[in-house]
Amino acid sequence: MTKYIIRRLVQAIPIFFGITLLSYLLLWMAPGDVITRLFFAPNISEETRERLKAQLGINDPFHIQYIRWLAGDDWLRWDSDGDGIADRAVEFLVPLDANGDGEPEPPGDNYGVLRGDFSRSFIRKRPVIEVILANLPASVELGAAALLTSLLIGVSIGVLSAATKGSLLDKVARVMAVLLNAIPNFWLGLMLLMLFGSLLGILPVGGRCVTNLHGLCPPLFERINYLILPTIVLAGNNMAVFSRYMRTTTLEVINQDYTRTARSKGLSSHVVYFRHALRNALIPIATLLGPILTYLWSGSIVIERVFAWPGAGRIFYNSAIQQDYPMVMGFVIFASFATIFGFLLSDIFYVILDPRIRLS
Amino acid sequence: MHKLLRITFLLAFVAVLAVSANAQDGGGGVLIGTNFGGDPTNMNPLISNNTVELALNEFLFPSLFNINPETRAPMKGGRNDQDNGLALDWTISDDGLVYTFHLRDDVTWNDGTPVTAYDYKFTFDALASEETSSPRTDVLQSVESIEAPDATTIVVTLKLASCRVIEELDDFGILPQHVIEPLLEGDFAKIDELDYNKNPNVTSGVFNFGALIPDDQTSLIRNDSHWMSVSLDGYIIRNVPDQVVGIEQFLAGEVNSVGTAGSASVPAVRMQEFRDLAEAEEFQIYEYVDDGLTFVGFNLADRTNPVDGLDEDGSPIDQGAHPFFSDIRVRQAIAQAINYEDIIEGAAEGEAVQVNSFGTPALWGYDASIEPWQYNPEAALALLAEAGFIDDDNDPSTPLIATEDALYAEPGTPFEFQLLTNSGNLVREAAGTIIQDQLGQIGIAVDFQTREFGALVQRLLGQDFDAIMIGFTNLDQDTDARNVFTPVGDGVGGGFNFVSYRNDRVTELYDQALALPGCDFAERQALYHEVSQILHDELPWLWLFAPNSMYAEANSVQNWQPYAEMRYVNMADIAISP
Repeated sequence: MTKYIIRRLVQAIPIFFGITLLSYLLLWMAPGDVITRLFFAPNISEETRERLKAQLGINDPFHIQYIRWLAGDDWLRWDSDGDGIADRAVEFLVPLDANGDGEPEPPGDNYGVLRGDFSRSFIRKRPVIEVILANLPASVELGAAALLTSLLIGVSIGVLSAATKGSLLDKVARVMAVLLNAIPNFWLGLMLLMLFGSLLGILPVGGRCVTNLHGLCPPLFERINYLILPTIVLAGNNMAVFSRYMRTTTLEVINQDYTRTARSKGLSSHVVYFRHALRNALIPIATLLGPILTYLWSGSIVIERVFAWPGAGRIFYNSAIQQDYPMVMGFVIFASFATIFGFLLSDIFYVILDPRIRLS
Repeated sequence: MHKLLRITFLLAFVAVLAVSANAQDGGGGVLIGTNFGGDPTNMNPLISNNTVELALNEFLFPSLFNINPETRAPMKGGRNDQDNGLALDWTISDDGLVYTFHLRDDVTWNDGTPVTAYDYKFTFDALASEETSSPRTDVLQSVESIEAPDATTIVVTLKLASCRVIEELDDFGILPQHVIEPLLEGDFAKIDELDYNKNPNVTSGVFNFGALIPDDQTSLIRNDSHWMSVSLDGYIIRNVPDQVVGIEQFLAGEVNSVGTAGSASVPAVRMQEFRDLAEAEEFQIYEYVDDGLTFVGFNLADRTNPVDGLDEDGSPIDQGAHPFFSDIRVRQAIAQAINYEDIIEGAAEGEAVQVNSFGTPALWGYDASIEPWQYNPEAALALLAEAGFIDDDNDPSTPLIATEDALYAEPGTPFEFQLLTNSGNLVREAAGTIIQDQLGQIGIAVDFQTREFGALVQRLLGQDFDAIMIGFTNLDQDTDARNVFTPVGDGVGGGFNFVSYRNDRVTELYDQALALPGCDFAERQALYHEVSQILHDELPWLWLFAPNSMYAEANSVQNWQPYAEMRYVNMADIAISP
C-alpha cells in the first residue's frame, strides 16, 4: 500500500506541472490585465498605468512570468552587497535594467510556488498562501459539514429507499434526488435565505457568526445556526447522488446469496442491512470521493458568495474577476491537490472496504 | 437512530439560542454597513484604491482640506467628519504657481503625536519616488516641489499653473511619518508591503482601526482621543458579496445601512420598494444622481488603421475617417433616433436621468441648462438624407445606402456598424438591444455584441471598434476631461480619447480653465459650461444617462445628515438608538 501511494504521488508530479502550465497559459492569454481593469478611469494617465504594469511584471513574456511564479524571482535579480539595490541578474531572462532608464530594477523578493509562498497577489500585495490559509478554516468547516451531512443523510436515505422499495418514502426520496440535482444551488441558497432569514427570521441571512466590533467568531457550537443553510445547499447535490447510488447498490447487494444467508440465519433486518449489506454497498460510494472533494472546493465558490461565508472560494471569485492571476493560480493548485488527493483516497477506501482488492 | 435525533434536537436548540444572542456591542451603538466589493486589503491612503478602502480612509486619516457638501468644492476650515481636513486657509500666488496652506495645530495621531505639515511632505515624497503602487502620481506632472517650512505650513510650487492641482493635492492622504519612515529603511518601495496597510494602528480620524477579518468584516472603533466627541462605539462594514443578500440583511435588521460610506448600493430594481417602505417609516432613505454616466463612444477615425492623435513633436497626425461617424450630421441623426425614455425605463428600471453632455448633475462643471437631445425620428431621417444616406429600395427592413453625397462612405455602402458593450452588465445589454431596435427603425443596422470586460477594454483602447457603450463612475468633480476629449489623450493602446475627437476650441477652453489666474470657481464653471455645449452639439459620445443612487439607513440611525456622495458628513454626531 505504501509503495502504491508513493508511486501515485510521484505520478502526480507531471500532472501537477501540466495543470499549472496550462492554467497559467490560459490566464495569460485572456485579454486585459489587472491594472487596466482596476484603473480604467480617465483621470489616471497611460504613463501611470504602464508604470504599475511594469512593477507587477505583467508585460513580461509568458515564460518569464511563469518561471517567476513557479520558482520565485529572488534568484533572477538580486542584491549581492546588501545595499538594497540589485546588482546581479540572470541577464538572458531578466536584465538588471529592464526598462532601460539607466537604473537597476528592484531585486526580486518572491519565492514562488515551489518554495512555498505561491507568489504574491497583485492586489493584496501579500503571499498567496497567506491569503488562502487565512480563509481556509472557514472553507474546511463548511466543506466538512457538507460532506458529513451528505454522507449521513444520503447514505441513510439510499438504504431506506432500497429497504422500502416502491413505498411512498422511496418515491419521495427519488423525486427529491432529482430536484436537488436539477435546482441551481445559488438559486436554492437565495430562496432559503429569504425564507428562513428574511421571512421567518429564524436563521441568519448569511455570514459565519454574529457581527461584533472585534470580529471574533465564537466556537462552532455557539454559531451552528450560521452553518445550517450553506451546509444544506452545498450538501444537497451530493446527498442526491449518494442516495441514488446507495439505493441502487443496496438493491443489488440485498439480492446476493450472502444476504439471503444472513436472513435465513434469522438475523434482524437492521443487522442484515447495516452490518452485512451496507459495507458492500458502500464500495461504489468510495469512487465518488475524488470528484466530491473537487466539487466541494469548486462548489464553495458559489455557495460562499451567496451566503457571505468568508471562505477561500470567495477569493477565487474576486481574483478571477480582477485578473489577479497569482491568486487564481493559488486556488487552482489547491483544487488540483484536492482532486489528486481525493482520487488517492478513493483507492485507499476501496481496499479498506473490500479486503479482496489489492493495490498494485 | 434515537441518538441521532437527540443530537439534531440539541443542535436546533443551540441554533435558536445563538439567534437570540445576535446582538450588537453595547454603549453608543454600532453602525453596521454592507460592502459588496472586495476586502479593504490596503488601507494605506497612499495606495488604497477600491471603494471600501477609500471609504475607510475618510474616517481614519486626515486630509488636506474639507469638501463643502453643498458645492462639492474645497472648503477653508469648517467641519466635515468625512474629510477630516487640516487646512484652515490657503493662498495662491499671483502667477498661480505657489500655493501656501496653513494647517490646524490641534490635530493629533491617536498615539498623541501631532499631525503636521511634515507628515504631508513625507507622504508626498513617497508618492514622488514612484516606487510605490500608488496610482495617484499624475499630480507629479504639475507639482515642482512641496516644502514644509514649519509644522503648520505647506508650500506647494507648481511647474505650470493648474487650478486642478488643489483637488489632486488632496488625493493621496497623509501618513504618520514617525511610524512609517523607520519601517522603510530609506526604501519607499517597501510601503506596498507594510503590515500597517492591513492594520493601520496609528491613525487620526473619528475612529481607530479595529480588525479586518478577511472576506467577513472590517471594524472601526471610536477614537476617544479625537478632538470631536464621537457618539458611536464603532462602525462595522460587513463583506457581503451578493447584493441581494445584503439587501435582505438590511430588511431583516441584521445591518443598519445598505452599502458603505462610499457606496449607495440600493439596486435600481428595488428603489421603488424602498421608497414605499421609507414612506411607511420603515427606514430612512436619501436619493441623488450618481457621479457616473453611461454613453456610446463613436469612433471618429479609421478603425482599420488606428494611429495616435499627435506625433512626437505634438503635431496632429491624419487618422483617416470613419465611414459613418466622422460626419457630425450622422451622429446628430443617431442622437435623435434614440428614445431616451425607453432606454431609461426599459434598461435602467426608470432609475436614471438623461445627461446632455460629459458629466452628471452631481458635478459642478456640468451645465444642467443645456437641453438634452430628444427623440425625433423624422429629423433623424432628414439629417441622414442630407448626409447622403437614403433608403434606395423603400424597404425599411434593409439598411440605408450611402450615395455620392456621403462624405466618407463609399457610394453603395450599407449603413451598418458594430456596437459593443461589456457582457454581464444587464443595464447596458438591455440598452444596447433598445438602441439596436430603434436605429433599425430608421434603416441603420446595428450588430450589437457583448464582450468580456477585459476584451472590450482591449478593443476600446486599441481603437478597434465602430461604437462602444460603456460607462465611467466616480468622475472627478472638476470636469476637466482633456485626457478624454483632446488629442493628448488620443494614444492607441492606452489613451482615453479612444474616439479620436479633436476640437481646438475645446482644448483652448480646458487650458483656460486649468490656468485661470486666481482659479475663480464661477469663471471656471463658465468655461466648462462652454465645453459642455460643444460636446453636446458635436456628440463624440452619444450621451445616455446617469443612474439614480439611494442611501438607506435603519430608523435606529439617529442624526443622520447625508449629502450626495457624502453619506456620513457628520459621523461624530450619529448615534444608534436602542
